[in-house]
Amino acid sequence: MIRIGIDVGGTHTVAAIMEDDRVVLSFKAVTSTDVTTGVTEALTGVIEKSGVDPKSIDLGALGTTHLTNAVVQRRDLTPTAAVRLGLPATQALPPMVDWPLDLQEAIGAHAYFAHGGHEFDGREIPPVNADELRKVGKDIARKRIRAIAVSSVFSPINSEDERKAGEILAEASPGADITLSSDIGRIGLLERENAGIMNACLRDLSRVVIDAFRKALDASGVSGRFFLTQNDGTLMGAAFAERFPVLTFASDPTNFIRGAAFLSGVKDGIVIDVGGTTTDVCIEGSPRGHCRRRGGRGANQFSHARCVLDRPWGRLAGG
Amino acid sequence: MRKITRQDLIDLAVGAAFLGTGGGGDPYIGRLMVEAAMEQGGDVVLLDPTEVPDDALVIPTAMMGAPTVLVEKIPSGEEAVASLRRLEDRLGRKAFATMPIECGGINSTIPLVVGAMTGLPVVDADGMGRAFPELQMETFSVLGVSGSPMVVTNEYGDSAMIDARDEKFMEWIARGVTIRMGGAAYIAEYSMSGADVKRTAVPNTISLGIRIGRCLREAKAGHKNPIEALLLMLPETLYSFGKVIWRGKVIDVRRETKMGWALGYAKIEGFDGWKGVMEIQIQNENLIARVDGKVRAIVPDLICIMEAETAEPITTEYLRYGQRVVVVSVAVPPIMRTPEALEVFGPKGFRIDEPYTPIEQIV
Repeated sequence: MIRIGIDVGGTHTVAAIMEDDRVVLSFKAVTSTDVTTGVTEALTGVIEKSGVDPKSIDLGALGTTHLTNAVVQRRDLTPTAAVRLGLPATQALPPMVDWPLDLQEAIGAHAYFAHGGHEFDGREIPPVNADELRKVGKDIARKRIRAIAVSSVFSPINSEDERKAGEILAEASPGADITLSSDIGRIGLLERENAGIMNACLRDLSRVVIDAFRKALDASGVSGRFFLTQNDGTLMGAAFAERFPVLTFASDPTNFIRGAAFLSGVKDGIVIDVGGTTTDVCIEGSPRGHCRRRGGRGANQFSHARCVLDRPWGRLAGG
Repeated sequence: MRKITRQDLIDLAVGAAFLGTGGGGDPYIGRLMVEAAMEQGGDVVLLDPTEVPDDALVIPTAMMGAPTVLVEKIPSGEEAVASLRRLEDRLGRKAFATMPIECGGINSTIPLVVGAMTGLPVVDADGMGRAFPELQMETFSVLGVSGSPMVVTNEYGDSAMIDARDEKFMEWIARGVTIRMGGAAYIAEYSMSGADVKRTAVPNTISLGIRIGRCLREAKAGHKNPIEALLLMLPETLYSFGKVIWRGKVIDVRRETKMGWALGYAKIEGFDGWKGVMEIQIQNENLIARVDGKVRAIVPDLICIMEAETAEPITTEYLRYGQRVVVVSVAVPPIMRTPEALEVFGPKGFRIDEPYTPIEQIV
């Protein structure tokens, strides 16, 4: 099987071709602001130099810090509304309460409380109030906010209220990107809500990045399937990645741990990636890697995926 | 008397998690709540027990319920104050101060929220000296202060006032009410005089929590071993002895919310020269640590699971397969080790069929 791997870093875009377990060649280009140019350059570079027939490439995998860096640098984030179902509970700590101020400002601190949510045994707290949510949806539309993150008390146990709310909000705010926290996170309201908000504010950018990747693959004549790497060391399909960009967070440390382990044959060791934007130091040892990041600033969150990192990524990021 | 600062709150969140011995709820949420209340303009004033007049009325406040519920159903913020006000009405007197019933976990912060919202000072003392799962497990009760009347209130303002024949039955009824309220509720109980505070409370436990957090933080900032620094500091307090009892990797965690508790166990495979598997039994808090069936530490002494590199205390709900941890055990103050106290919150109080051996005597 011939695979091509591409890493879009803050500074460099690198492509590598592998034939089964053998690394054929790698090629380094400069990351472009439009993403496509840099990826095309890296792709065409590695294909030409290796002499591999682009049509023979079975699979392309893209790993990128582009989305993480957008958060770190507070740029290209879509203004987002956080809608939380749980009234009359949860008011002591509104959405984004512990976020750095500049990150709140970057997406706009648009927070809404509504009735709904469930008890720990799945019982409904108060039912979802359609009128209330329609008003919320209309207000969000009026403010021209196009990304909505919905979270609900105990939604990992019962996500019904989130789904209902999602439908009502989609109708009241047509065209909005809606993220349901129960699709991403697990128990821990604030962290799951944060993951949902992070996801919602990145969906525009994720479409840009994935589209750029598609164009670059087409331009290089590569027709195989393509995937993005997520933060548990596995791959996700492009359509899935467009819906859940937040799962690419911290995929770069997992990628370089896997790569370093493969190339060096070392099972227990320290891996240091000195990048253009951040430096990551990881301890690699099965079955879980363990990471520290310096140079990032974010909000606490857990990730839904079976995370290779045994700490929530956000608490690492300067937290 | 001192005013609590933001740095104190950050340190307290860590120290209270340590004293929480795995339970007590995530103080992170409590810390955010105090900060939010302080931001609204409320100050939090901590009083030494000696600063409370003998005839003053002190009404302790707290949260009760499963910590696993608290991380989802965050409070509305009004509940604990509502319980205090209802108890004042019942007693026909206004409170001079509030106080924690539990210095471990989130209950180190709930009275601070009440203080910030009402302007009442908070007495620097509690009745558990750590975290415990049941309301009768208080030095207050052991030494004759009645828990009733008590008030339980939820996010809707529904409340129950409980008068029970003893604190064990008060716990039984209040727990039932709490479960019906969704697994978490806010209480006012053990109202007492300043004289009783001085006689029955474990003193200076909030400032101890702050001190523990500060010690760990400063050690890490100075690139010193934080756990060693902590074990050196503790003998200066009423918690006169502490030691590392295990190092290892978490290989199994079992946890279920049952009857209002987070029940379960954690298994830790030893490394770094520690051979075997330590099993820690949990009922909200870490109760007993055994290796190959042999007891290595037992309640009421503290059993704390700490992250191996950062020394961050790990609460029960955040225990995960693969975590590399250090387990520390600490001696509790003498007021908690009397025969009467051990009946209530020693192994017998948890239906554990093992004798209590003080940690400093376990080889």
